[in-house]
Amino acid sequence: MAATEDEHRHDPGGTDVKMTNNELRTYLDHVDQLLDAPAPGRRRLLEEVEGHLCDAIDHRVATGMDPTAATRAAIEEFGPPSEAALGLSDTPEETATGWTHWLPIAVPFLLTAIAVIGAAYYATKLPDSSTAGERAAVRTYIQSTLLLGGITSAGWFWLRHHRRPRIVSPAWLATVAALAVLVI
Amino acid sequence: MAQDRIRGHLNALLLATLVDGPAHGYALAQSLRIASDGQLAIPEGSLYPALRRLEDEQLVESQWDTTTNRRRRIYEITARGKETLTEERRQWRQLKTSIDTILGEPT
Repeated sequence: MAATEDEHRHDPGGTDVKMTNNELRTYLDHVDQLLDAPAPGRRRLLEEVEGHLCDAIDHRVATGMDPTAATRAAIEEFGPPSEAALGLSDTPEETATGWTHWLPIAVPFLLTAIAVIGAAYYATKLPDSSTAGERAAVRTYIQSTLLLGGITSAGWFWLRHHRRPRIVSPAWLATVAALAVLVI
Repeated sequence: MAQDRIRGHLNALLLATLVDGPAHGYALAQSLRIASDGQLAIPEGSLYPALRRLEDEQLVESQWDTTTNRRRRIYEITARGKETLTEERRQWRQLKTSIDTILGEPT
């Protein structure tokens, strides 16, 4: 089996070999792009999938199938990249779904809304005769509000692009950061 | 439908297959397929997370196979895994008896 694998990977002459490598690499790249798993486990998963597919290809080649057809059959059996990535992604027990998915963004969103209303109030109600200290305080308040809004937006974008995030996610960090901004 | 049935018992099936000896992912999938005469085709994408869960629970342990150029992770059942398998088998027999009682051939 190892010899067959070496032929697949290192024989520079065969068109079939190049096609096999290209198809396999393209498939693995797609899975990689769609895979929702943290870095260390992600690399291991991808290496295992590659090994698995190479074994599956070798198995078919050993039964007389040509390498290109064997690669396609192995990939087909593993499933489309989206399904494979979903299967390979973290288990449901480790991921947040439904309202728990959006929970980490709820707190910073609420705080931002309150801060924006407060900033608008101070900005419109501040009298022309206000002191430099009062103006500085309002400026700081508005800057904090913008920072809070930025953190909230970052958390929201992160959640939107991770349909099955881990429960302990960067969105929770946004919550903590938002609270820290509020306290400071 | 068959895949849904497998999912609930995947851990036990993997442990039972590993009792025969250490194996890598592809070999495990093939063993299950052959042993079940093609009836138990594991969704291959879910195989590795399942193995990872078993490893997290210390029911199996794994290491990279360094004897070939290929990156293969070899899984081996632990003593704790064998105990869990015994318990899983007991629960399965119990469940099977209960279901047989209800779904068995009418007398």
